[in-house]
Parts: sequence; C-alpha cells; structure tokens
Amino acid sequence: MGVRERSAMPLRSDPLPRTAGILTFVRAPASTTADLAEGHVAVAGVPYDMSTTSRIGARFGPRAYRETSNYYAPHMESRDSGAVEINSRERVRPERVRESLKDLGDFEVYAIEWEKNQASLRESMYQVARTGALPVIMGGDHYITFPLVQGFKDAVLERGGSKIGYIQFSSQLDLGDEDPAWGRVWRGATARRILDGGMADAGNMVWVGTNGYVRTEQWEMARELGLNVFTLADVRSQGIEAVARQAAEIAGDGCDSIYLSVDLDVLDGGYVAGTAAPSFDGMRNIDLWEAMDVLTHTKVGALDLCGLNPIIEIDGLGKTGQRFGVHLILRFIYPRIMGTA
Amino acid sequence: MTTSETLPWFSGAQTFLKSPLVGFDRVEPGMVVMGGAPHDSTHASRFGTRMGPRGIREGSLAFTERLENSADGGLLDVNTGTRLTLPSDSRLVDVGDYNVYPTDVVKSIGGIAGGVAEVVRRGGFSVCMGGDHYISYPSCLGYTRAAAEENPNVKIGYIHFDGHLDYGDVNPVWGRYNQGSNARRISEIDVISHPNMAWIGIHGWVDEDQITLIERNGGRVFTALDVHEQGAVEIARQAAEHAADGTDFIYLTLDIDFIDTGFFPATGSVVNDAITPQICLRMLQEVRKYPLAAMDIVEIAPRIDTSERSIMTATELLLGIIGPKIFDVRPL
Repeated sequence: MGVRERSAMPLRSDPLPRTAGILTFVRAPASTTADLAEGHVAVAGVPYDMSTTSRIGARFGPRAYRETSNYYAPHMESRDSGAVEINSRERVRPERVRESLKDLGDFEVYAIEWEKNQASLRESMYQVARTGALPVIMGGDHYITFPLVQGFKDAVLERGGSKIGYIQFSSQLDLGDEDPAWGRVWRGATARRILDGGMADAGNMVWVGTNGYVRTEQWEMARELGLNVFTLADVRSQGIEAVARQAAEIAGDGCDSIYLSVDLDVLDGGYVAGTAAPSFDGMRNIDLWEAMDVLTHTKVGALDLCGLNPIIEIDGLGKTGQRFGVHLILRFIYPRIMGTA
Repeated sequence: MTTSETLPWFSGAQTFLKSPLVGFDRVEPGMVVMGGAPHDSTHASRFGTRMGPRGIREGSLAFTERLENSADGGLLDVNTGTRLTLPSDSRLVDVGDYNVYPTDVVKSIGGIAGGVAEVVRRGGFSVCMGGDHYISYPSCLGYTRAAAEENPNVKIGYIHFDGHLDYGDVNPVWGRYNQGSNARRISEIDVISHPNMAWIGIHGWVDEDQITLIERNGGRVFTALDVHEQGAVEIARQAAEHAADGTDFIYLTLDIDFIDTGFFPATGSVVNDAITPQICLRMLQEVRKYPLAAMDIVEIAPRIDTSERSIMTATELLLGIIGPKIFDVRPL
C-alpha cells in the first residue's frame, strides 16, 4: 500500500502543497515496529533535552525535522521521473522510498525521571534494531545517544553479533563523568558512558571534528587511552573524505556494526546557529554531508542526529539547522534505500 | 534628494540607495532603473517576498551613509583599489513598484512585463526586485519584448543563479506560472536562445526530467560543488561565455537562495551549500564583464531574518552588477 492510499482523503488525486498535510518524515507512512523489515529505514524522534547544560530546546528537534522534511516530499510522490542528486547524478526512485522509509513517531521520553527515560530509549531502540531496519534517530540533546547505543548493542547481540564500533561527530569529546551542577546526567558524559559501559571497545571509538576548547582532563584522558580523535585541524589537513574512511575502518575493525552519532554543534555556528553551543570556527556544512556520503557505504548500522535547537533560530532565521539535518539524513539513507550502498 | 543637509541614513524616502523616485518619462539611456515586483502568491513554501522590494530598499539605506559621510563623497574598494563616487547627474533611479495582482497571476505578468518594457524602451538597465522567482518570467518577458521591438532578430542568452533549476512545466498544484517554472517559461520566449541558457549554484536533488531536458536543449548547469572545486571566477566565466556565445545580450536572474542560508536566512527555500555572499559577489563581478541588458533579484523574504543581515547583503550583491554603471570609478 502506497503512501497516497494510506493517507488519502476521499477526493485526493494530486500531491499536496509542501506546506500542507500530516507531518511525518518526508511523508513516510506513520508506522510501528510491526511494519519493519530487513532493509527498511526507520525514522524516530527523541524529544528530550533535559541533560543539556546550555540552551534548552532540542526537544523540538524531531518536530522541526518533520516539518522541513516535507520540502522533500516530492521524493516520495513524484509523478514521473523522480529526482537526481545534481553532482553525483544518483537517482532517487519514489517507489523505493515509499516501500522502505517508515516514520515510527517519537520514542517515549520522561523528562524528569532519567532512569525511566533511559530504560524507554534503550528498549525502543532495541525493538527497532532487532528487525534489521536501519534506525535513524532525530534528537534531542546528545545524552540520548547513551541509552540508544545500549539498545542497539542489545539488538546486535541478539542478531548473533558480538561487538559494535562508535563514531561521534561533535565539537566536544563528551568524556566527562560528573558535572558539579548536572551530576551524572549531562550531555558532556555521552561518550564516557559508552566507554565505561563497555558498549564499544576504546579502540573502536572515533571522534571527528573536535574543535575549540575542550576540558583539559578529557583531552588528557583521550591521550592516555590512545583514543582516536580527529580534530577539526585534522579534517582540514587530511580532507574529510580521508578522515571519514579512517573513522569507518577504525570503528568497524572486528565489529559487526557501527553506531554513528552526529551532534550538529560540530558545525560552524555561521552555518547552523541553532544549537545549544554553536562552534566558533567549526566544520563546514558540506564537509559533514560528504562524510555521510562516505559512511553510508560502511558498516554503520544506526544513525542519530542530535543537538539541533530549532527554537533558537526563532521561527525563521532560515530554519537553517533543520533543513541541513533533513538533507544530512537523506544523503545517508538514500544509497541504502536505492541499494547502491 | 530634496534636502541639502545629509540625513541620518535611516531617515528620508526609502528608495534604493536614496535614488530619485521617478516616472517612466524620466528614464534616460544608460540609467540603472530599480523597479519592484512585490508578488509572492506564486511561492510554494514560506512566502513573504512581497516585502522583498521594500526590504531591498531599506537594506540599501545603510550603504548611503557610507557614501554621504565620507569627506569627499567617495568610497574606496579595498579589494580592487578603485575609488567610487556618486556622479552629480544620478545614473540610478527608482520607479517604485510595478502593478501586481496577487490573485491573478496572468494579470500580474502584464503589469510587471509592461513596466519593465517601458524602462527598456527608454534605454534603461532594468533591475526588477522580487517577489518570488515567478516574477523573473514577466521581467524577462518585458525586457525581451522591448528588445525585439528594436531588433526582431535579437538573440538573447540567459544566466540563472539559483539553488534550484526552476525548469518545471505545469505543477499539479501551482499550475503553469509559479516560482518553479520561471526558467521554463523564459526558455519558451522567441528571442531567448535556448542553448545559451546557463545555471549556477544548483544544489541537492533536482527533478530528473528537468535536468535531462535542459542538457538536451544545450543548456549548461554548474553546481555549487563546481563553484567550490573550480573556483567562483572560473565557473562564472564559463557560464557567461556559454550565455554570450553567439548572442547579442544576456538576461540575468539572481535568486539569492543559492547563498548558504547561514549567511542569507531571509528566503523561503533554504539551501545549505557553503556558498558565501563573498563567493556570490566574485561571480557577479565576473559576469558583469559580459553584455548584460536586464536583470532581476528575487526570493528575498525580509521578515524571515530578524537580524536584517540579508537585506543589507543584498545591496552589496547588487552593486556587484550595477556598481560600475552608477558610480564614477577611477583608480586611487
């Protein structure tokens, strides 16, 4: 059953204007885990932002992505030829997108009770990943990545795997343990929880795009443990394509799958101002896309996109970040959907 | 200007760069003529470009302060080392806004095209300020109509700066005239040379039928990535050479949405392609070396950008084309 039939009004025969309609991601059918199968792409939101130490508002991220994603709705409804990416000339076949892309809505979140929130996100992610679909999670602040990685690992183990790697694009290392004000539940501890929890081996964890000032004790920890950190300076000197390839090799070495987490604060604040902590002199937006072009052809088996705070860009100022994020997700998932990855 | 003392830049009549507000009868050969087409009912997403002409004019006022407050009435372009001064006989005028009819798209074609044709008949260089990109068609139609009256065999090339191709035919929802069909409608004008059409700044996913048809008809498409990889000046040169090859004049449309929205947020259809205003300006400065005869600037929706940086940037971009036409330019 195509999207049009599923959502059809009795008299509908033409596509809707892009500003109209029910907001699912790229007008994908609203689905449940029961609809998922191997090879599908399952988009879900995690509207949680209580562990950000800065400007709150990432809870509006999933809603913002869905709203902006409707500008790409023709990729699902195109009447005749479909779309091509103008540089690569790779095709997007609407019928393939209709078959494969599912929007699960948002995972259950509990803003005040972290333990309950963690259990919910872990279980939800497990339920999605165990189907063999590719989970694509729209955050949310970056701390949600910790329970999502837990749930993803659970599913990989159930499906007969043993190890996963982890790649993080962020301006920060996120290797903190406790923050004096926020305690243990804060976004600066995301990678530390994954490391300490043994969800990925230190040798299979990669940081890309680290920039600006980071906390000294975290930098020293990374050096002492020999962690794989590609700073923004490394990206500039080696080129993003080479860095992305190395990241995938390191994270995938001996692993069944890779969890990829992107915190939008890795970008220069001039490109995307709507993050809790915009970077001054961060990564170029088109470099982050190019990294997705590389990584979609690797072992990456789950993607999350965190850190967008759409309300900072007032209702306007371009809606820069949400458009960027949607485009990033599509660049990652289309090669999977079209079978070219 | 009617006052002898310099006003603060934010006061006074808000014409473009505080140029004289005139009727068509005051347009003389060689003048740059600003005219607005505040039409956005043909925009498919975030409208607001009906405020575009007003926004462009308002954004230009800050620049007048720099001109008026320098000791000798001039400015130095630090990149080129040239001095710019406003001549005593203004070569820049503003004719206000053309007639638009928000609920009658076809009637708006007549209003905008009729106004632009009047400007062109009098020898003016028409700068039509949109409005969404739909207005580019009537603007170009008005220009070509007047150009064909003078020379029925005139052959005109076309340069299209944009994040999008705008080469759709009939949209099932928006019909034949909209902000995604303007280049297609222009390609159907008799004196437009279809093989001499060039696009710059295209980004992301485009309709396969559109790109196929453009290239089959001999058009050339330069992407934002081409600009990054080969350089702004080189791509602008190639596009302009393509448009100028065997043609008499070139019509230019500047849809500012191909500039990365981080730098130019005031637009409806957002593009993130790392094209900065400076890269855009370098391309415009290259393109202006070719026989441009009329242009439009479209898709500026001022209220989306509360910082106002977009409308101020628009002035600098326009000067990239019209600067040498309206200023006395001489070496330092």
